[in-house]
Amino acid sequence: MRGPNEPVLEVKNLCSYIPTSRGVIKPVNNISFSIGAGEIVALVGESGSGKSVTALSIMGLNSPSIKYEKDSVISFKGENLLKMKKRQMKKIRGNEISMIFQDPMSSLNPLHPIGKQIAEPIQLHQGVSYQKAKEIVVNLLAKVGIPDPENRLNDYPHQLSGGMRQRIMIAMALACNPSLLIADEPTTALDVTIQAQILNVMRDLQKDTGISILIITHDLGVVAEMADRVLVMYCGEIVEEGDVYSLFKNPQHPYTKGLLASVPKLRGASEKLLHTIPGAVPNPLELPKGCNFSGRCSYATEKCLTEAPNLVETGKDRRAACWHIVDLQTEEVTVHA
Amino acid sequence: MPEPLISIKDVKKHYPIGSGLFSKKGKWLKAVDGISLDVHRGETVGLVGESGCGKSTLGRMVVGLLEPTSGEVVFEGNSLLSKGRNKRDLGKKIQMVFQDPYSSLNPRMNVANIIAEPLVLHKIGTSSERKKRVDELLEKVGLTSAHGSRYPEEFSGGQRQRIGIARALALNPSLIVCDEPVSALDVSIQAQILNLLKEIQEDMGLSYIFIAHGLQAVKHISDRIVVMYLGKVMEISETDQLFEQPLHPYTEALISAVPEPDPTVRNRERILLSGDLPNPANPPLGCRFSTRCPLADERCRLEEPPLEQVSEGRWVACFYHG
Ligand SMILES: Nc1ncnc2c1ncn2[C@@H]1O[C@H](COP(=O)(O)OP(=O)(O)OP(=O)(O)O)[C@@H](O)[C@H]1O
Ligand SMILES: Nc1ncnc2c1ncn2[C@@H]1O[C@H](COP(=O)(O)OP(=O)(O)OP(=O)(O)O)[C@@H](O)[C@H]1O
Ligand code: SF4
Ligand code: SF4
Ligand SMILES: [Mg+2]
Ligand SMILES: [Mg+2]
Repeated sequence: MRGPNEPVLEVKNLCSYIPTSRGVIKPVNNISFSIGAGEIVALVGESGSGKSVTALSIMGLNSPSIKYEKDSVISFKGENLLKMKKRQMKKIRGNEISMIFQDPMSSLNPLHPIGKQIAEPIQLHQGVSYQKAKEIVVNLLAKVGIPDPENRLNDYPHQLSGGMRQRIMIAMALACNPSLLIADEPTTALDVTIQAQILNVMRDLQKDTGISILIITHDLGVVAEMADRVLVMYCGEIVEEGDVYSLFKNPQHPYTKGLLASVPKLRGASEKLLHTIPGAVPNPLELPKGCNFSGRCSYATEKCLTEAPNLVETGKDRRAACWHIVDLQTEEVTVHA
Repeated sequence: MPEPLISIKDVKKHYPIGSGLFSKKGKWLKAVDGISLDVHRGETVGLVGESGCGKSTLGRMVVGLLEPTSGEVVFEGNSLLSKGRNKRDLGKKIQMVFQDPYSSLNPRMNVANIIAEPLVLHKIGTSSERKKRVDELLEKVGLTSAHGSRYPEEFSGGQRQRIGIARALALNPSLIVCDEPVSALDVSIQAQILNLLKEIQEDMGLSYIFIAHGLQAVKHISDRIVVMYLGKVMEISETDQLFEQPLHPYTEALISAVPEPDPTVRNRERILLSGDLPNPANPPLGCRFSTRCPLADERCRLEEPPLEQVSEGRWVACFYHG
């Protein structure tokens, strides 16, 4: 891991907003982070916390109803993607940055055989012959663990299982040797044994090609297995960031702490009742005045209700947005011993 | 052993493949292919297995939403297959909670009416008695009577699942089939619902059949676990034993594949299966797991291993089980 010193991607003050008749929603509210070369960064958080909007901002694929504040920057290899012309962005998308979506069926064309679908972008971006592109495709399919790849080229998406389709998606995403892969819930729709295969494929690819990966998931198990670094989002903001080992060992934000404690244990005797985070995420149109987590937080004080905490450095490679981090640290942390 | 609350007896559900004129004659998809299981009073039985292995089909036969192709479900000594009044009364005692808290509630009904619907259908109580019962139920699932006048779209996923549970409790059932009740929910909300289900069980002494493809939730809530694969049972075991010492190679792989929320064990030995799930319309000859099983040999590919009892409460279908 070369770490964030040499970032492939740098997001600075990314702020998106959607004007609606009932008020302004900020799906992503002033977040900053970077992804280093060869790094795997996981983005976790509650449904609706802004994970997909973040990913789609990088890809330039958010719906036009989502606007960005002027000083938002997504810098990829030194260029601000948000200021880029559509045509330029098209060259980068699928070529230098590519994305795997949660539902592979929605991103594969049901009318074309898979071989053709993977070969086309290769021909387009690399200017090679169909024959050469086909060779590359067969190699890619083998790489993502599709048995007997030559004979699968003519299969249509519906003839493949969910796990196979997801592997095809990964093959497509890798076709042009991107330097950044964004995977939005790449295994959520899959069974655990197939998920384990897909995660393995992704891990091996990262090792072989040195690609950087941004993986979005709500499964803390997937995070623990894949990530070098973790970003935790809540209500459109990053509330905690840290390297995976120290964040799991010593979560600093009460939300992260609650999340880790809510997962039922797989080893050892079952706990009688699970730890829970009470309540639910606030409505994006009625966010609290102070800390967004204050309504659910057992550490909340008067200050939390009136002032929103900033994301500040809290240690080596650690950031958190909470007024009472110190209180948390002095407490014994009993998470997944 | 006391008499079981419910006995599932060699139940099968076969669907014709294709339909109408072009159906392939004599071809069947064996969604559930001969499953027997007892559930006792106050017990929770977990059903796990990969997508398409027949969990929901089995669950729907238990609540009477689907008619078995053969076999029967016996509830407190009465067959659910028998028609008429008897069946209607039995139906009250078995309820279901569905996976999708978004589509399983009628968007045009307010919450109080959704919860009261089973009472109305079974003509139970006067309208003021029903109203009182709805308030009780709302409170039981952690909502308030003020929520009753609101509509499903105003609720979060976790709250909608609470409403679904309240509706299932309306008729005081003895058994609730929970079909993936927390799969669609956020981690922090899953724990709330699992705790709620446990508390209700302790309070009311009812039984659950808890369906999930994720093992963590099943482990947490179940007394016993049934592991299914392609329409059949691979292993039945008391929960802690199953995790301490899985006997069937599929169970072993399943447990091993669950990613653990602990980065310090990420390099542990793991059983990685190769190959994909076989086509359920054309299951492998012999053992159904043989196309992916690391231990499979010639015999496994030709002969189907029967589900055999290996110790008290422990059943396994494998020639070479651990
Ligand atoms: N095109 C859009 N129009 C209006 N609101 C949107 C749009 N896209 C996203 N949102 C809103 O922005 C917020 C963030 O959504 P986003 O899809 O990023 O969540 P997420 O973290 O990916 O959640 P999930 O885990 O459910 O996928 C949500 O409140 C969502 O409803
Ligand atoms: N009405 C139907 N007609 C034909 N086939 C069906 C029907 N309902 C289900 N099946 C098939 O029966 C098999 C079992 O389906 P079922 O829904 O019971 O699986 P499951 O274990 O609940 O899966 P999941 O985890 O995805 O919910 C699948 O192969 C499915 O495609
Ligand atoms: S700032 Fe206050 S309310 Fe917010 S997470 Fe920290 S302690 Fe809780
Ligand atoms: S019978 Fe053979 S193929 Fe089936 S699970 Fe046992 S060892 Fe594997
Ligand atoms: Mg999303
Ligand atoms: Mg199902």
